[in-house]
Amino acid sequence: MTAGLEAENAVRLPALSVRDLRVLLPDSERDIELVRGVSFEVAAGECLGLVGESGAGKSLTGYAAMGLVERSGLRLEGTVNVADVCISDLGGRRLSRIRGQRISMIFQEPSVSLNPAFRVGSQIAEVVRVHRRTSRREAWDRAIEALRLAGVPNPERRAREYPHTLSGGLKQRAMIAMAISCEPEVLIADEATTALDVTVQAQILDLLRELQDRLGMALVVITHDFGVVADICDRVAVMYAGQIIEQGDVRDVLYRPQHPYTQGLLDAVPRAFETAAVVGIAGTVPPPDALLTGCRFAPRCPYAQDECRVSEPELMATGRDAMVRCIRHSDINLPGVRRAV
Amino acid sequence: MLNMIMRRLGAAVIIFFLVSILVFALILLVPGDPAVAVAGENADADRIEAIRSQLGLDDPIIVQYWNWLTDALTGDFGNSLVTGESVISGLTERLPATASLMILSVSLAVIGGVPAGLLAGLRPGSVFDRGASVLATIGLAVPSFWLALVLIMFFSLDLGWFPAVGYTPFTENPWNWFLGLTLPAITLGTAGMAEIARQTRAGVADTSRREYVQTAYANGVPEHRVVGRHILRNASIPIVTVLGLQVAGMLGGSVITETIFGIDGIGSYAVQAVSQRDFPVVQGMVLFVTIIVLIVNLLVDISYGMINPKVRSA
Repeated sequence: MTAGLEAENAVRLPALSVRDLRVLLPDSERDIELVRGVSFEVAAGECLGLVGESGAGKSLTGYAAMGLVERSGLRLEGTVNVADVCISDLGGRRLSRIRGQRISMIFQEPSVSLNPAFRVGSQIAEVVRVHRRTSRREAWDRAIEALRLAGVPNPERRAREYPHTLSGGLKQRAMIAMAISCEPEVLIADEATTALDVTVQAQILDLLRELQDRLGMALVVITHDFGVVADICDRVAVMYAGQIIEQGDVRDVLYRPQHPYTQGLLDAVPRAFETAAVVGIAGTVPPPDALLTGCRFAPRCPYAQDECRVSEPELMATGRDAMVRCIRHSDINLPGVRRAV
Repeated sequence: MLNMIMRRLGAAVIIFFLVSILVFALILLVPGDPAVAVAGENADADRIEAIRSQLGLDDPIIVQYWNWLTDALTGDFGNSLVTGESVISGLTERLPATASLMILSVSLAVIGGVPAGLLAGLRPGSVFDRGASVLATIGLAVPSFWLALVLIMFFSLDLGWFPAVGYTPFTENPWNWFLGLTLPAITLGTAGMAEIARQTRAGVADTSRREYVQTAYANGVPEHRVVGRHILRNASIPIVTVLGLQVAGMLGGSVITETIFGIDGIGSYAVQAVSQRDFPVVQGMVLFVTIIVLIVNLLVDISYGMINPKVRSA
C-alpha cells in the first residue's frame, strides 16, 4: 500500500521545482535583489523556456538552480528541488554528487566552456568517473557513447582530440555529451545556441529535443529568442527585471499574450520576408538597485496608467497554468505574434 | 611536439652564437691595449708581448674569434690570467656549491610560493590573500644583501642555529651542507618566492573565473579535483614562465649571496675574475651561464607544450 503511494508521489513530483528563488548581491547598505522571487516547475519530459532581455535574471536563475551562484559571492534564498532532493540546502560534496548526475547545465560559449588542456573524451570520462564507480576504460567507452548520442561523428577519434581542434557546433555537442553522460533528470541550457551559426542552431535544438525524448529529461531552455521557444518549448516563463511576469503554455503566450512586455518581445523578433523594421521596446531594464514603486515595467509600458505605479502587481492566475503580473491584463487586448515565428 | 622542440633548439643555437660574439667582443671593448690592461701598467715590453701572443691578439679578429669559439666548444675556455688554472676546471670545481644553492633556492621559492599563491587566488580579497600580497610585496622590495645581513645577525650570531659563512660539500656531510646553505637559500629564494606567489595568485584567480571551471563544477566535479586538475594545470603557464626567469635571475643574484656567505661558487668566482680583470674567466663564465639559461628556457618551452596542447602544434 504505502509503497504504491510513494511510487505515485514520485511520479507526480516535478523533476525540477523552484520556489521563491532569490539571488542577492550583498551590499553594505541593503542587499540588491537580482532575482526577485521566481517560482516554476518542470515535469519529466517537459520543456520550459525562460525568456527575457539581457539583465532580466534568466541566466542567473539557471545558475542559482544549479547552486552555482554562491561561488561568485552572491546569496541564494528560496528552495530548489530536483525530484525529492532539496539541493538548495546542500553544499560541498553532496551538491557535487547531484550536479552532473541528476541536474546538468550547458552554457552559451562552447568555445571557452571546455578545458583547453585536456582531451575532449577525458573531460567527459572524468564526469562519468566522478559519479559512477567505473574503471577508466568503462568511463572512456561511456564518454564515446555520450559523444555518439550527442551526434558527434566519428566519436572514437574526436574523443582523443583537444577542444581547439573542434568547430563551435562540435564543441557544443561535446558539452551536451558531458552534460548527459550520467543521464540527468534535468538539463538546463543557457543560451546554448546563441553563439552558433543559424544552421547549427537548428541542429542543436533538434538534438536537445531528441535527447529529451530518449532520456525523459526535464529541459529548461534559457533564451532571449522567441524563435527558439516556439521551436522547442512546451511552456514558457517570461522574465523581466528579476521576476516572472507571464507564464503559460507556449501557444497561449505566443498568440494570446497577456503582458505588454511579452507583446514587446514578440514584436522585437525579426522575421524573414518582412520589410517592416523590427520594433524594439523603448527604454531599458531598470537596474536591480532602482527604487521603484509599482510595476517595474510601467516606465516602458505603453498601457501604463497611474494605478500601475501605486504598488507592485502580484503574479495572478488567469487560467490553467497561466499567470500574469499585470493589473490591467483583462483591460488590454494584445495581438500576440503577428505571423508564425 | 618533437617538431616544436627541434625549432626551439635551433633558436637556442643561434642565440648561443650571437652571445658568443658579444662575449668575445668583450675583450675588444677594453680601453687601450688589452695586453697592457692585463699585464698591468708597470709591466715591461717583453711581458706585454708575451701576453699579447698568449691571447692571440696578433691574429685578425675573425681568426681570433674562430680559435676561441672552437676551443670553447670543446670545453677549453683558456686559462686564468691570474692563477694560470684552466677556466673550465675552475668552473666545474665551483659548480656543485652554486648548483646546491640554486636547487635549494628554487625549491624554497616553489614550495613556498605556489601554495601561498594558490590559496590567495582561490579566495581573492580574503584576509589570507591580502596578508600574502603584503608579504609578497615586502619580499620583492627587500634588497637581498640587507636580508642576508639580518639573517646572519639573527639566526647565526644571536641564535647560533646556522653557520654565518662557509660551504660544506654534500658528499662530506649532508646535514652541514643543508645548514650552511639554509640562510643563503632564503636570501636568494625570497624574491623568487614572492614573484612566484604573485604569478600563481594571478593565474589561479584568472583561471577560476573561466567558463570551463564552471563547466567542471556544473558537472559535479568535486572542488579538490577542479582546483588540482582544471585550475592548476591552466594556471601553471605563467608560473613556469616566471620560474624560468627566476632561475636566470638567481644565477645573477648568486654573485651577491655567495660573496656575503663566503661560498666559493660560480658567483664569487665571477666577482674575483671581474675585479682582477681575468678576461678568459669572465668570458668562460658568461658563456657557461648563457648555456644554462638557454637550457632553462628550452625546458620552459617544452613544459608549455606539455601543459597546453595548442603550443605543441603551433
